[in-house]
Amino acid sequence: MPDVFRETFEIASGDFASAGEASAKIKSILRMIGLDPALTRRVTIASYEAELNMIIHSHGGEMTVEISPDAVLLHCEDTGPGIEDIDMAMQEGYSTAPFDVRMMGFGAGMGLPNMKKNSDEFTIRSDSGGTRLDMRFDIK
Amino acid sequence: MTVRELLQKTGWKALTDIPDTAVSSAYIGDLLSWVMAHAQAGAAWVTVQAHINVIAVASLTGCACVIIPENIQVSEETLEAARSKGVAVISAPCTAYGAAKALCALGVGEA
Repeated sequence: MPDVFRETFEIASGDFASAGEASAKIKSILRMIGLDPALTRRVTIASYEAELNMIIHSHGGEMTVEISPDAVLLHCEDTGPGIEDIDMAMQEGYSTAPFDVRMMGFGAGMGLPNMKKNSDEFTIRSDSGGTRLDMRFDIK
Repeated sequence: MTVRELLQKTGWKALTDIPDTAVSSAYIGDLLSWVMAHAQAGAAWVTVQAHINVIAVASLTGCACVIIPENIQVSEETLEAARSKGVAVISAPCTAYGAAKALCALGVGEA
């Protein structure tokens, strides 16, 4: 087995019918390799939030999971339009999701805070060309 | 208490196959991110959201079943997703509060 396992998932803008598919695959990979269930849960929560954010807010992008002996990494990169105010977006309860999306139970303003809370390292960069999220989950 | 026993004791309606999975707790919520972050595996999740994304959240959190109250109609698309992911979906005629009371009376508590 190679030192690092890596798989990339395409996330399409507005594709609510497939929402959660990438996270389900990531969860099944983590379970298959016997990762601690509590850590698997944290990665799954973060990946689902990232996946939904890309579906709701972005023009589409990619989510890559990397698994090494000491960490699980999630890299998310979309093609825009970017987050106007990252500090506001990091606050629980702040959301720019449209009304119809909120009626579906999304857009609670929990996405980015949930990702930060569940990861051991979290970085976000965003401009009009896109948003890049990097999350690290330590395997102890 | 298993999902099958829950169904037998309440008389609620099964919308999918009902497995013999244990129900270890109950959770009520309609904000999917909130449920994703707080519902525990094995929970009977009560929600008025009846669209396809509920199934993904139920599957990812490992919920024992989804209970849709007030006879809210569940689309065939949602039920197909539930069947393919092995998520049990139950329709209840009562409100979410009524479902909580029934679960409580059967000894199903908070996580």
